[in-house]
Amino acid sequence: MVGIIDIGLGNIKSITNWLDRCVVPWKLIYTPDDSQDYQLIILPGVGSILEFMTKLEQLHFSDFVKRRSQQGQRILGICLGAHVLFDYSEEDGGVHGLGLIQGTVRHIPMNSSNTGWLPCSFDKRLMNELWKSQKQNVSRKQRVHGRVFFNHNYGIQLDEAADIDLKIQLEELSEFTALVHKNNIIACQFHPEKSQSMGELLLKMIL
Amino acid sequence: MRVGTTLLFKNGYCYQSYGWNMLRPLGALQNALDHLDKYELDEICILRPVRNNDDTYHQDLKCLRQAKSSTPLAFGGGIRNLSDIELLEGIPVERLVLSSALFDRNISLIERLHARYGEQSIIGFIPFSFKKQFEVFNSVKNCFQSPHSINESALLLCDEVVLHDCDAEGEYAGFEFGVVSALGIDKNKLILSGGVSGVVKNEESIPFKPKSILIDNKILHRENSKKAYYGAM
Repeated sequence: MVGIIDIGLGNIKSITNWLDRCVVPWKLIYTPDDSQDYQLIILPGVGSILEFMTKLEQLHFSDFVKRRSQQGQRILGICLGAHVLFDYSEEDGGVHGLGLIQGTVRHIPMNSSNTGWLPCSFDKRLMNELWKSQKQNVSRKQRVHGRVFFNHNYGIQLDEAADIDLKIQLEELSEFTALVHKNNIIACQFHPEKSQSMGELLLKMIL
Repeated sequence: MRVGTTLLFKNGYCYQSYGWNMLRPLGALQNALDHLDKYELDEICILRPVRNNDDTYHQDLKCLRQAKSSTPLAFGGGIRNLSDIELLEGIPVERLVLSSALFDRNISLIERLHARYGEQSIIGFIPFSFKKQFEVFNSVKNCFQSPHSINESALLLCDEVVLHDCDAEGEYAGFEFGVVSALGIDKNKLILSGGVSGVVKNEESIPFKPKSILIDNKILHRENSKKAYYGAM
């Protein structure tokens, strides 16, 4: 079962459609509840960080996410949901995040947003080892190439001291990170739920 | 450059538009989205062709909430005041398209959408015509007006702006590029629509590279093909 944190903001419906396409059972989490076990908790996000972070705190989800991550709960943050996992964001005049990964969210030096598709590739072996401590069948294709959908004005910049397992940078936006993996957390700048076949493949890799 | 499509949607059905004033039914929204998903387009822009009267906003949002697509969606048509924003909750779209708000002196609607959906989510939509003279369409007043009626402050708050050529709507080519210099919008923010389908095959034919082009749905479906037409029903 995948849990989706629903604070009334963000594109929850796109996430549930994505999980449905991949035949993955899901449940919306309206209130923090430690009694329920989830294979993965998704923190979705479309919006601005001040309103999002305020709602997370008002509904006590900020403590919930921190607590569950310390307990080893696997968490996937998408776009704005990924931004709040970092220390600080420049958006909305500066907002402190949950600080689960060392890094800052900075404005992308472009006239308009980075909206569109960029090529991306994943090593299936690495993703599986990191997530499930499982080794893949080496006779199978291990590296997958495709494109993923971005829609953001602010991007993730990791601290040099950030102790992470994996990061995926893009040639087109080399200063920013497209995906960060640290222990049981994945912060995903792009929208896997709207990345067509590549998004579905990513979900299969991490579940 | 992204390549997407427009999908006209009203009263729970999708339509093909002719000459800006005539609509022909295309089929249910989900059927159209399923077919468009197969194209693996970069984006789908769902637009409600509402004019001065808009009595099906609730009904259309209800239908849109049920929509499923793996392609990024933008939605617009009928988002005119702050109370309309609350009704958007639960729709599976990434971006919102505003047209009448660009003519409004009050920019509080766009500011509220910024706070709720983020600056990257707001797209302006300007239908224009050069038939008599250069004019832009104000959907609330249901008439073409002088381009000076556009609120520049509102325009600046849009992350991207769709320029829709009403005269070339549904055509393979014919987009009037004079609109770009006439409106003076940053070219890096532009999405072109109406008579731009040919650009996909011949990018050198246009004076600059826009952020995206939106192909009219009927071009995409090759409306002359019965097979494609009935497939979309």
